[in-house]
Formats: sequence, C-alpha cells, structure tokens
Amino acid sequence: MDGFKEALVEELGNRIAFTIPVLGGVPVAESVVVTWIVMAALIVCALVLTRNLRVQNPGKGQIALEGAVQFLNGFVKTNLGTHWRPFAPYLGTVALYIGVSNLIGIVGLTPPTKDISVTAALALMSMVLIYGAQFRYRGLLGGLRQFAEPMPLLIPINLMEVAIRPLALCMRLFGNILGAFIIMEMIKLLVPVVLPAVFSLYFDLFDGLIQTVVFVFLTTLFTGEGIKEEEA
Amino acid sequence: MLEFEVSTIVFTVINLLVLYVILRKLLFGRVNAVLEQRAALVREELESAQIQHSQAEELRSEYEAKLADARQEASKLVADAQNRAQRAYEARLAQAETDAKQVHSQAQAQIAEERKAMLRGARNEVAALALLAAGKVAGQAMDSAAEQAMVESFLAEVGERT
Amino acid sequence: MTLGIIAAGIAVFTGIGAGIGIGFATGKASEAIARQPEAAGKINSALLMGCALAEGTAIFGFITALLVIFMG
Repeated sequence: MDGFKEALVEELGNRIAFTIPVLGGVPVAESVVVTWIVMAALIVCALVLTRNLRVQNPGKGQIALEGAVQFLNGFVKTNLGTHWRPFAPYLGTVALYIGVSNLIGIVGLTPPTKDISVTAALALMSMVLIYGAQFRYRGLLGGLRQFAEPMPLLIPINLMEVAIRPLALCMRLFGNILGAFIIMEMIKLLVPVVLPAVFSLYFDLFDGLIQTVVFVFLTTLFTGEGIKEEEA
Repeated sequence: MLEFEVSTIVFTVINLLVLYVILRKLLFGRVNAVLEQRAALVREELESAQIQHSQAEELRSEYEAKLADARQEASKLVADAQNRAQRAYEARLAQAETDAKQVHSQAQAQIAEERKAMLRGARNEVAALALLAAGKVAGQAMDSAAEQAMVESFLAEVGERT
Repeated sequence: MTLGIIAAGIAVFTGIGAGIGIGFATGKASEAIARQPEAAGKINSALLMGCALAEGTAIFGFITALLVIFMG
C-alpha cells in the first residue's frame, strides 16, 4: 500500500521537463511541453483541413469542418446574443485544446489538464473573458451595475462569484481529470489486463469530452450572462 | 500536486493566446470566410432569380395587356362590320319598300286616272246620247251650248245621287 | 494517519449530495423530455449545466480528500 502511495504521488507530481537558464532558471513543466505538442498537432490539422476550401462543391472533409464550425457559431450565438462573433474562435480554440489534452492520455502522454496550473490558467482566461466582455460591452458603469443584477442585495454574492467561478471551473476540470487518472492507476494496479481498457473508454474518452463540453459551456454561459440582456 | 506553478500558468496563458491567434487565422477565419462567401453567393443568386422573376412577371403582364387590347380591337372591328352590314341591309330594305310603295301608288293613281277618264268618256257619251235622244224627242237639234250645259248639270246631279 | 484516512472518507461523503442532486435533475429532465420532446435540446443544455454545478460539490469533496491524504 505504501509503495502504491509513493508511486501515485510520483505519478501525480508535475514533472519539470527542463529549465530555461534565464532569470535564475525558469522551470518548464511537462504539461507545457505536452501543450506545445497539442498545439503543433492542432495547427498541422488546421493547415491540412483548410488546405483547399472551395465555395462551390465542397468535399466531404470540408462539409464536416463547416458543420462543426457552424455548430460552434450557432451555439455561441444562442448563448451570447449579438456580440457572438469575437468569442466563437476563442471558445472553439479552448474546446479543441481541452478536448485534445484530455484525450492525449490515450497516446501515452500525460494530459496537461492533470496539472492544476494549466487548468488554473484556463480558468483565469475564462474569468478575464467573462468580466472583460462584461465591461467591454457595457462600459465601466454598466459593467459595475451588472454586479447588482438581478437585485442590489446580491452584490456580495456576485462579487464572490468573480473568484468562485474561475475556481470552480479550474477545480472541476482538474478534479475530474485527476480523479479519472487516479482511478485508472488503481485499476491498473489491481487488474493489469482487459479491465483498464474498458474503463479507459469511459474515464479517458467520455469523461474527457464531457468535461471539455462543460468547461466551454459554462464559460459561454457566464459570458452570456454578463452581456446578453443588452439587446433585450 | 496541488501547488500553483506561476511559470506554468504564464506559459499556458501564452500558449493559449498563440493557439487562439493561429487557429483564428487558419481555421475559423478560413472556414468562416468560406461560409460567408457561400452565403453571399446564395443571396446573390436568390436576388438575381427574384429580379428575373419580376421581369418575367412584368413581361407577362405586358403581353397580357397587349393581347387583351388586340382582342378588344378585333371584337370592335367585328362589331363594326356587323353594324355596317346591318345598316346597309336596313337601308336596302327601306329603299325596296319605298320603291314598292311608289310603284304601287303610281299604279293606283294610273288606275284612278284611267277610271276617271273612262267615266268622263262614258258621261260625255251618255250626255251626247241624251242630247241626241232629246233632240230626236224635241224634233230639233239640241246642240247649242246652253243645252249642253243643262244636260251636263243634270247628269252631274244624277251622278251625285247614284 | 488513521484519523487522516477517516477525514478523507468523510470529505468524500459530499459525493452523496452530488449523486442525489444529479439523479433528481436527470429524472426531472427525462420527465420534461417525455412531456415535450421538441424541447429536448434546451432541456439537455440546462441539465448539463445543472449537473456540472452539482458535480462541483463532489469534486470539491474529492479534492479535499486528496489534500487530506497526501498533504495532511
């Protein structure tokens, strides 16, 4: 048991891949390196998929791609209202990144989302997006007044949400991936054959995709909450 | 395990921003551009089809108006011709009628004239006969004008009475 | 250490609440979809949102348990 615990702690720790020797050494975590790999894969995929887009008679791949982008656009539009345009690419990027990151465990790499710093960064950006959009489209005063919605009594709660929302986003993603990871490790320790593959299907594929959807969905919803009623 | 590494957070933020910029340019920008182009194309075609349709509609109504015009004209022509024929027919009929009437009245007048002439001849003869007879009765000729006149008046009286 | 394990077990009890909550939510969502199948999309998104929020408590409990076990 103690050996397992040691191994688990060893697995759970975020390894430092290498250290940049400037400013007394900036550590580059393994998750950052995997993120680079994910980025490279995504960019290559984007390049390959958008190589020859045609306006007339598109190919099968293009139709699928267009369908996906249209789905994203429609989803963002229904949740954000009129100002959806600048948000769709960012939300799509985050969805792709988290999705690929969650699934990359299948290839044998450590998922970057298992590192709480990565999910914290994602949540931080979501927070910036949510409140940045609120102040950007409502002005300083309107943005501040938005904290008094739906009634002034809720101001403390709304202010607390500024911190709670990103924390919940960060912890949800991290906790789910970490939990799945720990359970997978335990199953591997107990039954090394067959069973891990079955559970991996659920914990890596299904859970990873669900968490991606939840993260993007919640970010969109919170952003929409801040800016949507404008046109109404 | 649960410590927040500042360098990782900073790296991830930078990574995400870079990925966002690249993907926005390469993936979403391109696909959205294609989508918009297609939407524009469809809109354009729809518009042109609409214009063509309205043009065709215009042309059709024009033709219809022309057709109605022509039909009206034709019917007017026919009516005109009919009218004229009717009038000519009536005029001819009236002419014939008056002609017939004239012929009839002429004939009647002639008959009356002849009758009158015959009557006058007969009366003259009767008067001459009467005078002759009276002369024979009186044993003298009664051929003076006064006698003639007397017989005439007598005969007229008799003619009126009968 | 034993105390820590017990504490971790108690922390993981938050999962009960999340389970009950998600169960309720899913049941109601199924009812709603059965009643109005055409609104399935909206119901699904609302369900997903609620489940994510309810699940949050379980996740917090889980993280607390991890902290207790590995850090405590």
